[in-house]
Amino acid sequence: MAVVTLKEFSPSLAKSYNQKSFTHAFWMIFKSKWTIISRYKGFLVFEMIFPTIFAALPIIMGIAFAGSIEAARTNFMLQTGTEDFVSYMVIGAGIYFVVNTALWNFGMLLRWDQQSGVLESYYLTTTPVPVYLMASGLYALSRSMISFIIGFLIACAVFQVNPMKGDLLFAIIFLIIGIIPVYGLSFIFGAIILKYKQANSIMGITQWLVSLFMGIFFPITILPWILQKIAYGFPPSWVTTDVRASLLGLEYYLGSWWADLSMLAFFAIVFPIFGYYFYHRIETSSKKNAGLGQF
Amino acid sequence: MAVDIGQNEKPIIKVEGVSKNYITKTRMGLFKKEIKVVEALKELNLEIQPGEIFGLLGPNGAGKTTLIKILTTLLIPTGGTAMVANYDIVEDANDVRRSVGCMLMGERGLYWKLTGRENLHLFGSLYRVPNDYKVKKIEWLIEVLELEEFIDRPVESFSSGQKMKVAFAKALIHDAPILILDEPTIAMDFAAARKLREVVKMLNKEGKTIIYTTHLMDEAQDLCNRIAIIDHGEIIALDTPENLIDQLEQDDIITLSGEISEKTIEQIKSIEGVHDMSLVSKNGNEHYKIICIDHKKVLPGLITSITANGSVVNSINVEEPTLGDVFIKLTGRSLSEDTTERGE
Ligand SMILES: Nc1ncnc2c1ncn2[C@@H]1O[C@H](COP(=O)(O)OP(=O)(O)O)[C@@H](O)[C@H]1O
Ligand SMILES: [Mg+2]
Repeated sequence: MAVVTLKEFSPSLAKSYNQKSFTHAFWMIFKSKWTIISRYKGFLVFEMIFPTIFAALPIIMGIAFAGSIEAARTNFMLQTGTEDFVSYMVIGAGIYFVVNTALWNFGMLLRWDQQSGVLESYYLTTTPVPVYLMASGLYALSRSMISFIIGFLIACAVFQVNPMKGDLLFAIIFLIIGIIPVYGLSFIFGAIILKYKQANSIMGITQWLVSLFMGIFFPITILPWILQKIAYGFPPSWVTTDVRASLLGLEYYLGSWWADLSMLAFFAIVFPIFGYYFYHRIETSSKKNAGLGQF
Repeated sequence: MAVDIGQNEKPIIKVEGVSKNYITKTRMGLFKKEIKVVEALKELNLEIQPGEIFGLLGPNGAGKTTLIKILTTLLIPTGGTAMVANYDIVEDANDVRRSVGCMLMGERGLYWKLTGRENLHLFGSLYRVPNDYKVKKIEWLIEVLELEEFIDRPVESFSSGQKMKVAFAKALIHDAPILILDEPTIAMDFAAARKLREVVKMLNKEGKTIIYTTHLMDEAQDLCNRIAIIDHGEIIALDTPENLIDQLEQDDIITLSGEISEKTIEQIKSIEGVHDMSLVSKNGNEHYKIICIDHKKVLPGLITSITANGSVVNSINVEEPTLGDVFIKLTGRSLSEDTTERGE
């Protein structure tokens, strides 16, 4: 048995240190998540070609139903105000993809951390849970944004759409502001998964709801009145409409870009606060019973 | 081994009337739900002094992990309060976490896709340990816990015992004054377990207070200054291992074989504390059986009388009661029995 040698370092010699700031912990969580996913290469490749596959279906169906691409364009013009239905679909698929993978990545990641016991390990440390949630959320978002940009370019190349037309800068601003409320939504979504532990079925329902309300392949205005009202409360619907408006020259929801942007900015403040509040409520009620670490 | 623990020192951990109920719901058909309450802890009281190695000994399902999870802020008790390092476990949860290094889910709680070292760096940062300090500390842990050989491989390639070692290292990374270990040797082989206990003793000498749960009485007996025996969510005995065993009022038995002279036998019988000495034969082998109150008090006199009278001894064995016997006396059951209540 080796004798324990303390050498120059010993716990008792250690003066109590001042704790480092949270930003370092935030960065380390973010970095670790990226290190882990980089060790699953196949996953990342699939993510980048997904928007192309996803947009292909309605585009091909649209052409098939109308008989020709020209006929499809005319039909589409009547409903949406643009005949460029290929770009319309590619944008819809792309944004749906960002929102959906942001939720999915975040939910899965929380569930994995719960199952592997890492979540409980996080709860034992002195880094507050919001830092963990924000770092994990930022990871999920950055991952889906990067896949989106690459995936969008691939889709544009495949369907021969010019990605640089329209107000690209505006579109990006809408996307960035609009994605922050998704952050907040993901906290709610994550909390539900941690509590009910049915990641796949919850994910399935959410995906269906998100695709319905977001208007991926159709304008929200064709939804029944009551569903339209619900869709208005759902930030990603605004993002889809506003990105299309800036790129394809369509109508903004509230008539002007600044009104829509203010609305998204409002969501960007309210949703994360409400999302964390919701998470915190579920966390506390869990701790009063079996805790969030149970799997 | 008994450590003199100052009575008027302020306890580093104080548990007052802590109870914990788990509520499980089981669906029975479409509308009926069966609600079951498991009382995992029943108004528990406990004080642990700074510098102790305090053992929680009890069978599976006794409530050990539940108590540990409450003390480490993972669970909120149903009733009662607890203070850890003078911080309230609910009100000052973050200060409690800073004061406690904890290993509580065996080999779980590490990222399998990261290497051991990457895990230690991540958790060091989560405990917000300054970088230069963290790097040195990790080197120290690698040396002391003998992690060199595997620490730079992904955790998924580790054996259970290796994962446990890294989980143990993780509990030490932020140098907390209190160390809480929940069955830390459960997946380790004998040598690794002994090594871990040795490190625990060393850390205790360095001044750390240690709480150690186990269902293995040998471990508790070897390591702990005081032991609480816990069963069905209640502490049924609490004392030093020596006192717990003395409580049994059970005699020790010393067996002796060799060429023992009449004079020696007479002298041994007259040693204070010796009740009886008799010759027994088992499988054709003869040996003497000495029944006494406490073998530690009797042995010196015994050896003197043997050597003084020219007797020759082949072997001396002592059978003393163990903590396992204490548990059987208190509960009528053995420690290895599983008392876990299932929620289903
Ligand atoms: N999440 C839970 N839900 C329901 N019952 C639980 C839960 N966790 C533990 N229990 C029950 O509480 C009791 C104490 O368990 P535990 O604290 O894990 O015991 P130990 O660590 O001593 O083996 C057991 O009867 C166990 O079945
Ligand atoms: Mg346990």
